Amino acid sequence: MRLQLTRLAMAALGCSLALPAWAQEQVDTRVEVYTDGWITVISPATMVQVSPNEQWTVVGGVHVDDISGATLVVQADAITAATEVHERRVQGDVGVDYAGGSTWGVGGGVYTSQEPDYTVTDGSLTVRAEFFDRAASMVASLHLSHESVGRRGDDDFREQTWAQALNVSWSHILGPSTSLAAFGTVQHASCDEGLGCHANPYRTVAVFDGDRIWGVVQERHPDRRARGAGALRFSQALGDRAGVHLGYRFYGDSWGIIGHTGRASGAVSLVDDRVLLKLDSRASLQGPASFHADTLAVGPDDKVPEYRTSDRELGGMRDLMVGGTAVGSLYGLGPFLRLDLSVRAARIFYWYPNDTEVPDRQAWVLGGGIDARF
Amino acid sequence: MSRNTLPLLVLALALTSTACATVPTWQRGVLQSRVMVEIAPPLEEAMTQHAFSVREAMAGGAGAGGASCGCN
Repeated sequence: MRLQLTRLAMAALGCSLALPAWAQEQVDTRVEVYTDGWITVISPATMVQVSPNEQWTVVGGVHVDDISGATLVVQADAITAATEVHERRVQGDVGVDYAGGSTWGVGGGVYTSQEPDYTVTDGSLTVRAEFFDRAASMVASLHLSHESVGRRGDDDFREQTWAQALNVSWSHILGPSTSLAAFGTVQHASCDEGLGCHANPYRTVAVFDGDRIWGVVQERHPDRRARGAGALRFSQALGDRAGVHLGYRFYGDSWGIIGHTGRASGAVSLVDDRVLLKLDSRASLQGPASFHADTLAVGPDDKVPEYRTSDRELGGMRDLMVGGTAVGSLYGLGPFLRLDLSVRAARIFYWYPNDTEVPDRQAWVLGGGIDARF
Repeated sequence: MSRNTLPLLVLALALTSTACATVPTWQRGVLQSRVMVEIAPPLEEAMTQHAFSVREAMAGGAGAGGASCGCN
């Protein structure tokens, strides 16, 4: 039950670090391909869990994104070119969990993501506990992360960001076939003042003086960002072979961005648990940042707006994902307790209603994997 | 009492009241079935979350993540 509740909490968090999600040794390997007509990302990933004894569990993983294609270059509020892109991101994480008793544990983890011009390092501490005869589970984690942004061809350029985050989840069994999970997070980021938080070092924006372009300047964001989000996830079993999961997430930050995300998924088990079919859908609605403007205008005395961006995501967006996964399971094959073979397909639609120059996008995500349990 | 406070109180009451009527452990088996616990396997879910975190400004706030969106 501890593992099951922890897993429900982790599903609510959408994270996989430092906590035991499985009852046995496990190696999960997947490959996914994302393509939206502009960008193609090939992503092999693997995750390994080992439990040398009842107290200790170690989870580690590697994830690579190989990105290629063309990306929009928005200059002077118009799409002027499509540049070729090819880069690789390598992500690694490792976490350790210690079960101090039957109802509590502590853990820690490190995460790093490396690209030629962008690196992230994150460290976390986690505590978890169960209450009410294990009908409720709480997981809290504290994160400290550092981001370093560079710029190709400019060795002197370096922007730093430090961020702290607190995530708390609470999962509760409401009935023999019903559970509810609540999740909250707060994060604060402090960034260098040059470009501010999360600005793209390659992106410029046009500033207009009436109908005339006054000039083209570097994008710049505020150098502080506070974020908060809360989510609920309701899970209901329908008999012992089907289940539905409904979730809602609210997001708000100090840049004025408000977001709503809904998610509905379901699963049905067939052929004595040898086939698992899953359907997943997700829709989000996100408002624009307070400093986003469709057209930036130079002020009196030729003063450029302090904060300016042409980031389409900061202009507000909507997206919708629908997809499905089929899993075939083999039991007791050779050294494996269970061997899962899965295929997944999803369609994602993106709309940018506040940025008329950027076309809407439609993407495919196709993938498959082998999940072995020993 | 404000309109916003009432739903929170109702939710808190629902959670605490069910805590007093705990479901016996032997009745929780279905909650451990595959359709309940394997709806979002950790690795698959992490990859899905990453795909959205690089394309939505609201997706962060739950730890760090790389960029890799090729998005100018």
